[in-house]
Amino acid sequence: MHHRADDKVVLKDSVSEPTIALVGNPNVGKSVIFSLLTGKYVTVSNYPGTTVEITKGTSSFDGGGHRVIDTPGANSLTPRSEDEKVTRDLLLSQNSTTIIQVADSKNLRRSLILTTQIAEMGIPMVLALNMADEAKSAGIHIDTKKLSERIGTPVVETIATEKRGINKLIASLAAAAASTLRVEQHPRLKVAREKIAGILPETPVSREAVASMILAGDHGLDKWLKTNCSEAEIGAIRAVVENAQTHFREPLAYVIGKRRLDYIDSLVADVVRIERKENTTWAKRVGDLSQHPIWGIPVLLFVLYLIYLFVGKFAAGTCVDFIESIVFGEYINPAVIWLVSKLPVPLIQDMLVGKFGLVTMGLTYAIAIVLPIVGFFFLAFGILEDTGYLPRLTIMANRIFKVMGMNGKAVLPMVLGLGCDTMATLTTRILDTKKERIIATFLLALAIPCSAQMGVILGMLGKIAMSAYMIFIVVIVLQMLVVGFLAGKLVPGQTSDFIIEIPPFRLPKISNVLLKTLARVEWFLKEAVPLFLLGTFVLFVADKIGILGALVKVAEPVVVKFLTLPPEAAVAFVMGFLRRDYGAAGLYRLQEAGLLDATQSIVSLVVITLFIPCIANFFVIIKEQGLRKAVAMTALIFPLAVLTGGIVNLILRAAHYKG
Amino acid sequence: MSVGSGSTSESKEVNEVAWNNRRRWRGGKPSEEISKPVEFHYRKKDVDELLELIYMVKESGGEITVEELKKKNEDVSDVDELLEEMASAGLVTTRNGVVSFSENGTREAVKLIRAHRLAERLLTDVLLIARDGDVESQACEMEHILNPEIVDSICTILGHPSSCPHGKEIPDGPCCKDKKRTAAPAVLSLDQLQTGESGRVLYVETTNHSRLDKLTTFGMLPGTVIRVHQRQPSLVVLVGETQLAIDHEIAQNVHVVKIG
Repeated sequence: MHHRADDKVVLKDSVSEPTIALVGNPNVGKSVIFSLLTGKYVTVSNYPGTTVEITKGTSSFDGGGHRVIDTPGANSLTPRSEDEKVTRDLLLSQNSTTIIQVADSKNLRRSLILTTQIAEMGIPMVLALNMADEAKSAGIHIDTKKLSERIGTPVVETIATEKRGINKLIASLAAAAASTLRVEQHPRLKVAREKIAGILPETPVSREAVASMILAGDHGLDKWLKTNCSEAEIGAIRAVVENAQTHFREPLAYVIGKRRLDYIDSLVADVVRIERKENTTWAKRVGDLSQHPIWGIPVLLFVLYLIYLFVGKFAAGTCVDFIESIVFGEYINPAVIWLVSKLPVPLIQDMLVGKFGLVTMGLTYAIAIVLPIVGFFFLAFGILEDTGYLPRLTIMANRIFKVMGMNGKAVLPMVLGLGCDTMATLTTRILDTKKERIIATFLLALAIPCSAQMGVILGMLGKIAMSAYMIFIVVIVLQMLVVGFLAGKLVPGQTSDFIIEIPPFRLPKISNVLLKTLARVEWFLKEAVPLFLLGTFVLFVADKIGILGALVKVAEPVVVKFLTLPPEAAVAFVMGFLRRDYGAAGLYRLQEAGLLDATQSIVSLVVITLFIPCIANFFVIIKEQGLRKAVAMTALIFPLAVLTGGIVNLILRAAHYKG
Repeated sequence: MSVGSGSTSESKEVNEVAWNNRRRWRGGKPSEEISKPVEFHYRKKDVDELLELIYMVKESGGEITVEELKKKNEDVSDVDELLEEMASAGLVTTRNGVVSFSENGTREAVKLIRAHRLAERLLTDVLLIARDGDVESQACEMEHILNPEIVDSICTILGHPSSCPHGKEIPDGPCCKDKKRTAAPAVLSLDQLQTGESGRVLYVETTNHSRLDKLTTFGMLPGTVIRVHQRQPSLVVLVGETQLAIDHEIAQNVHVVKIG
């Protein structure tokens, strides 16, 4: 969950350094190969959309002679979604690039659709037939030699997760060549393409390729056209496209795509031999079970229960108890207090170990309460990600998400939000329409607790009863449905079609899961811990100069009267402005101190869960949606959170809920 | 061994079963009485063409004026005369140079348009006539000679398509309104296949560009074999080794012929 830096350059050469770009359909293993080529770990999961931004690295195999770029998966270079556009724009912006097209061997046909498009661009490439083992066990045999002859580029079989074939792949880079694969298009389209290519200015890839994209109705190029062509030239291009369209009853993109696919079908028939095997492996059975209309639900509940046991009971209970009360309570904190007592200035003593002490509060919260919970959650989540279970949830939830103005694909960012809302907000790019991205972003900020927060929540609720857990889930889900339903009605725009690839169910690879968990824990330590310390410091200062007291006073009518919580809870909510898990940790402490009963725990957790997004999330929302929308969302979320908490409070009190 | 009467009746039964099997797309029902063949003569064809033209102008939202009809029908010299004839037959009314359909006229025009567009579907997607010109000329001939019952049969075989290959709407016939759909079509939409069944795509019926794009990139185009893996809670299909979850609504646009 740590991607950074994307280039927004379109159609201009930026670097002269030789570059290797990994391109391919979603979920074919580009990121695994990236890691192998650069020695740099990037998040790898078994579902499409893990990589939504460009990741850059330096080649490790030749001592840093190449820049290596990992790209988001693209089904077509005539992009329809944001993440596909990133890939296309990158290819158009580089001059000295070699492409490694990573293909799923089981799916040669679909991969070759992309190959024809790269071939047209005239960029030198190598084709990596990844997951060769899965193809073999499915009875698919590809004649790589023949395929290489037919497309005119090196073809290498790889099994990236086992590091097989990578050296061959690296060696083949020297022989990389622009593919000779050319699909004969309809004569009228050929003429139209030549005409457009004649009008176009200098392009970094072949003019024909850009002309083809324009013919296929790629509006992502409009902006580039506007800056690089005169009004008259654009008009002329448009006229050619319109004229070409009059000769066909289907849209040109379809005509072009169909011709490509017909050609590919004949090519595939020539190089692929399939022996039909009816082999139902256990993985296939489990996969089918988890997406079954009836069995899918118990499977989901079972998975949730396992997470509850692992994170809620074991991590948040046993581990936190041990680290907090034994490691910190008996060793670290007393030692620090003893050390600090030697310091001459009482104010500094107070700052380090007082009520809002950097060590006794900031560090204890971060390391003793949140870290073990987050760590174990990341582990559980990593296992789930690698199995391919998450995209199966899209099948189960498509209908519900339709009601909320999105489609099943939006399940992915939502579930990823359980890891980190900030990252998940970036993942909303895999959604096709603006409306879907806005609703998903909003619901993430509103209702989805991130891993750290959820861990604390699981821990607190686990101390009450299973029923508390159920009440909490029902409240949050209901809130999400109601708000989602309203948003679906109110946000203008369209819901896109639901077509998503469901990857095969796989046994998670322990090494990948561990690596991923470690990378995420490292990210947490780097990003969250300093914020915890900063937050504690701010609280300390605010407390000293009296602002905190004033704030708590202001909040008191709401916190104490409306939500029936102890006044100290207001402090936790203030902490929630910084990071929601920080606020949750404050509530955890209150509950430990016996200041929150069952109802109060649930109400305070509902409020902190629905509470405004943390600072990092807020900035990402600004980046993706703009400042105005980010502020508007926050302004909506705050009263919603308090109101929902109040309603839950009233209902639970009326029902005399005791846990 | 002689053939007894018992076995004759048995073979009759077998015959009946075979016939029913062959008629399965009509729900095993024998064909209905076909109304008397339409008498076909030159003048009627001209009237038909004009009815269709008026329908299409109306469809595209334009105002139907005598002027406009003349302009679009240059090869027929006597448009005025034809219109008069049609008016006296109770098909159209003309007021201040603006032509409008009577109820009868609408019915006749719908019949013709329906026959024409269904013929186009049949010729392009099932009989795979490649040249546009051939499709057009054949469909133009067929529309005048097909009886409504036969048009309904074609409609049923094709799975009640809602648009012609050019994307224009095909008016519903009585067979489309039969909600129970007693007759089983030979061409189904993908979402009509049951779990475990496979179909070969014959044509894709949508004017939604981004939907077509997606179907193209996932390789769901004419000629592709698609297998239905599960139907609930979302439709899941297999294209080659790829498992795809798709909306039922999209699957309704993909028309297939069942292959097992």
